[in-house]
Amino acid sequence: MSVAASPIDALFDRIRQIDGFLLACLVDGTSGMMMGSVQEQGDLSVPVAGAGACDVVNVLSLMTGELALKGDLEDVIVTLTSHYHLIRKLEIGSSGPLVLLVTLDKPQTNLAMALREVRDLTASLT
Amino acid sequence: MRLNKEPIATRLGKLAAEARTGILDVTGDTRGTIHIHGGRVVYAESARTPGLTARLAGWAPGQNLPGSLERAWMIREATADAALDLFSFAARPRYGRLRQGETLVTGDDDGMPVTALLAEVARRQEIMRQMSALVTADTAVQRQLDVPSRGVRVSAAQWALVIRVNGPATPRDLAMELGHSVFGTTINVLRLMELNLLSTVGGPADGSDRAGEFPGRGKVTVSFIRAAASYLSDLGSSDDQAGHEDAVHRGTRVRGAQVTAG
Repeated sequence: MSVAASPIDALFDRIRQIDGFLLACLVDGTSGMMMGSVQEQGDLSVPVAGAGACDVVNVLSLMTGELALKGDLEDVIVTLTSHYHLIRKLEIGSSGPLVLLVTLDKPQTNLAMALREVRDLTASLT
Repeated sequence: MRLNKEPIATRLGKLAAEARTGILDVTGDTRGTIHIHGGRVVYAESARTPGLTARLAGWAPGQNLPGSLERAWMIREATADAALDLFSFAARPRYGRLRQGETLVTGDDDGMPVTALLAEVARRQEIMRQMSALVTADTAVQRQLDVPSRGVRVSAAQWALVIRVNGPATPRDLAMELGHSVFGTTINVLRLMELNLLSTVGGPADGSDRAGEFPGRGKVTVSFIRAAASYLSDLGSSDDQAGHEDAVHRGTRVRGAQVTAG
């Protein structure tokens, strides 16, 4: 067993500090493969969450393309009755993006701060 | 190699339970190796998917260093890509005894549990099935002659594919040349077909439509959530080793079409 945390574990350790944190997962945007996940309680379906985040990124990228908008998708904020999903696209070289999903409990979350934190964390990775 | 009594996925499950370390050589219609360390799969390679050297080639200096997120991703993706090829029922894999050897241990990622790898292979089989009416890893594609007049947006990997296609080529050919996953390349080729930048040579895989035309947008799309939900509902429980093995073995037998064809 290695002493240093894997880069994915290191990322998740910081994400877990965000107020309102419930779940986070990192998915390969091209293949849909789950790279890793962590959740507060263990009753949310991580495979479904990760797959959904990937599909959202793919559909929105298609929409951006069809609308001929300049620039590229950066992140997606989904507001639900009791939760937020923050979906962040990470470019890693020429092999296609990774997709980070962070699910937060609405009453405990400061959305602006959470978004800022996720953006800062992911900026330091790429 | 002696004839194996149990399927390879079952054998891997036993090696995991015993926390073994070593290398499993696989032969049959395809060839490869599976590296196991402490019962976890740390690496796999197959003759029909790109190896690490080819995958490393596409990165700029300073990127994809040992210990980086990209490196962990690359090794895991190479493993899953090779496993999909090796476990395919059609490949009739045979394997020998676990042998001692230099297993690939990077130090910062201790690999995947066997159950997780089997679940991932079953998920990929499901997605290949979603796409199979239009394109497979071995379907010949070509550049579409009528390029759309408005702008389209493609990812860097998709662009690398479009500019690479020079005469008919299969997703597997392109993946091997570029050092990208065969699985991911097949998906990207489908997405490029959706954008009318590529088309199959001689019509879709199931022969259902005119050559060169994408048979209607929205009829075949890759949906990861559809694959995840379908796999999990078949399985019942995501920790079920035997269930994962069944899913992998069922996986490549052709089922009734899951896509809405024209």
